[in-house]
Amino acid sequence: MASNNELFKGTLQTIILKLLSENNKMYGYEITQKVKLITQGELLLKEGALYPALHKLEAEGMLETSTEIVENRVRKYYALSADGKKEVVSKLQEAKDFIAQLQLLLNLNPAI
Amino acid sequence: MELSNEEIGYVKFFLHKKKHFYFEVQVEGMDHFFSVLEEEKPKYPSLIFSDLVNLVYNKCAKDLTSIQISLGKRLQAKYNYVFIKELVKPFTNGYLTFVILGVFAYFNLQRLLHDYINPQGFYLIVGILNLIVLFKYMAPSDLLIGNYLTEKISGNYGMVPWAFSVFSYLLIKYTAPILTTSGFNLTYLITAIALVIKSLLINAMIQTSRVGVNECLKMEVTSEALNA
Repeated sequence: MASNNELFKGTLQTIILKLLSENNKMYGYEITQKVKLITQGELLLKEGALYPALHKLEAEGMLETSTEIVENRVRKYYALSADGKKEVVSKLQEAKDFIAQLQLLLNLNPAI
Repeated sequence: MELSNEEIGYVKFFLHKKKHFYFEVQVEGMDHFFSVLEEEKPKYPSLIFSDLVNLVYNKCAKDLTSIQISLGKRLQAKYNYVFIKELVKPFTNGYLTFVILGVFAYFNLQRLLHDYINPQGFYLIVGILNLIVLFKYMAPSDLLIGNYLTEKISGNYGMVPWAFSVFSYLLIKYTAPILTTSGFNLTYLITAIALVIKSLLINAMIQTSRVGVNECLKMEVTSEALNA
């Protein structure tokens, strides 16, 4: 859903960091598929948004990369760095606070 | 669905033809392309492989471009940072003396050579020496494929030192410096300063390119696999 994707834009980094905290290392396409699976296809993570976000997080030192040869081709994996592991905790708290504020502002049912 | 070695080879060749050949883009872009291809393959069992590749490429072209742009921006920011850091490094206490001595040496060298060599010739010799230094240090690593790292550096900063050379050359050509009785000449002082600034710029470029070349060397094993 396009509207869904718009709402998720601001939390893309949090989503990436959270996924990587649950999985040791992931590659770009795997992240898109994981998001699709978890949200049952409701949220489609566009590569045009994902890769710049990954590169930005890498440049900020939140992610570390490694390359491996998989089935006769090279794959670039992303993993949380020590800083990234700290950041994921604060990012998740930030997201929780934001959701709580949104519920207050929009009078949403807390169960939503 | 796993791809055969022949199919993988075909895709590498196909993407190379489509100009997605930079090493850094290949690593991420190609794997992305292969992943989509593996997902799409079972959906089109009757399609011949080359048509399937074309179909996936039409679907992925924007993604590959986005990877290329994103990596380009990241590398640009990274090299700008290294370049500026290297450029301002000489303005610390130790280097500052070296810079002043450099200006003094170049100034006196021009004065000494004033009666023997055409100053324009002097600048041509310096220019050629700079070129040799640049080629020696800025040659890409032994990667056999185009590489974004070194191209970015030479593309971005390569012309700046040359601009200083042209400036000095033209200044000497049109002011035709004549030494005063005390042996001073303003043009020679300006060109000496320009020459030192140019050397600092080249040094910063070399240091920046070394960062790029070292990164390339680190990735060499993966590069061999890409070219296999």
